[in-house]
Amino acid sequence: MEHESELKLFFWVGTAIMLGLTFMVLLLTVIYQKKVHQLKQKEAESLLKVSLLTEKKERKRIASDLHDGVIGDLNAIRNYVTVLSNQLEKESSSSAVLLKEVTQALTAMQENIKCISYNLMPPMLDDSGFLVAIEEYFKKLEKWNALSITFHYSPKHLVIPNFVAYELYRVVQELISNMLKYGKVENVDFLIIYQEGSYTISITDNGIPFNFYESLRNSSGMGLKSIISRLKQFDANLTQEQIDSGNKLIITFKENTHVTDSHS
Amino acid sequence: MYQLFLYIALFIGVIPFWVLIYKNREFSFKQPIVPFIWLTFIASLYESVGTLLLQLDTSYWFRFYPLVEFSALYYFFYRLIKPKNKTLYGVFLVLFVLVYGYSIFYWKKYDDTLFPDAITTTFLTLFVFFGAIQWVKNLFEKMHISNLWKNAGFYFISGFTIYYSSTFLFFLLSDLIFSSNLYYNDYSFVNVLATLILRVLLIIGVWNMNRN
Repeated sequence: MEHESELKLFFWVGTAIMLGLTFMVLLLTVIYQKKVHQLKQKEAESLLKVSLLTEKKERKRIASDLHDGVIGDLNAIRNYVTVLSNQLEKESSSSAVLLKEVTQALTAMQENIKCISYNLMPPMLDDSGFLVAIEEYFKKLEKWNALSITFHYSPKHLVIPNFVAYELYRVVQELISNMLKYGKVENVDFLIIYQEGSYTISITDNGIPFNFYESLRNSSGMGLKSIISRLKQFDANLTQEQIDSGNKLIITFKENTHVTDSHS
Repeated sequence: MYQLFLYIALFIGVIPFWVLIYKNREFSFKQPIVPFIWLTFIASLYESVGTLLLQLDTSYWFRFYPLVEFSALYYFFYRLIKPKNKTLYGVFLVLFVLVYGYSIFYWKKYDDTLFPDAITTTFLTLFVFFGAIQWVKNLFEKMHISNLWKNAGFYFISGFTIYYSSTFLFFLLSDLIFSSNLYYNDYSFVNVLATLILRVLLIIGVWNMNRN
């Protein structure tokens, strides 16, 4: 039969074209899969932002209620008890001693609640800024734990932007808490440097060495994940440098970074 | 090699049905694919037992097959896509009846099986592509499937489009190829391979269907 070679060519080329068209249609589904993945990521990030913001608002509210409400009431009770105790002391009553102990217990309770309120939302963070708040936090840690923290920053008039302060404070709090819980840390070196529009925070400890990102992959808890989530809020990067003994974590972020609504 | 692939393609046709039974879905006709799986199972049995072993005349089967094939495909796409424009699907149905009627007429008049196959397969290919494009369009509009690799419909649609696109020219030109000096089996191999791919994707798709 004539034109057999043309028939052959037409068949194979035609089949290849038809298959090509099919794979183009299937390629669309691959593009769809990518799009869905991106949408899901955006949705997850958005939910995370809302969740962190809600947590911050709640902490602020509870800290405020504790400080203004509960501590205030405890103060009033303590005053009444002190007055009663003084009266009973004048009458040489034995109950005066008991009331003095009640006063001491109330004072201790007030201190505890102040601590809880402070941990929930350090008032200095909004009033005096990150550096003052973190220095205060380190002092408290040194007082309550066998820990020595060396805190340096450069330049002298360094200012951490307000919209970063809260999230950074929580990150440092979480990191130090992990060091104390798992790392058996005795010394921490905390350094902040601002240079050419970029902040670098270096946290070095002498504790048990660990791999941050490996622990993040294997951990079922929320602590490390919340660190990464908070850092994402202001586009910060966390890297780990290998050192001879202990651990060194470095957080870097740029000055002109944006965080969604950190003050409300 | 051709015979090997032919036998594998034939016998693999029963596996989607067994997977359906394993999933307890063999009578769940709410699932769009179930009629097609039944058809594939019956076709595999008929073609392997009836044709290969018993050497029965298959001309009536191959005339009847496009009718049930279109019915199963129509059911699949109609149930899967749930089209807003039902009129268009009605038009396809009417057109198929006309096309099928003409293929039967041609077969009876000229005692030719290959050209009627060409007519019906061309129509089926157009219908499958129409359905597949609608499905992809729905996919982008609704964004309701989070992971295509775990979605049974994705495998079924892929299988159908690959099969019908790769065999389109084979069926269209089968009459010419058969009457030429070209070795028919070389081209028929495309159909065998495409059938194998379709059936493998059917197995994966059925496997990804949720259990009762």
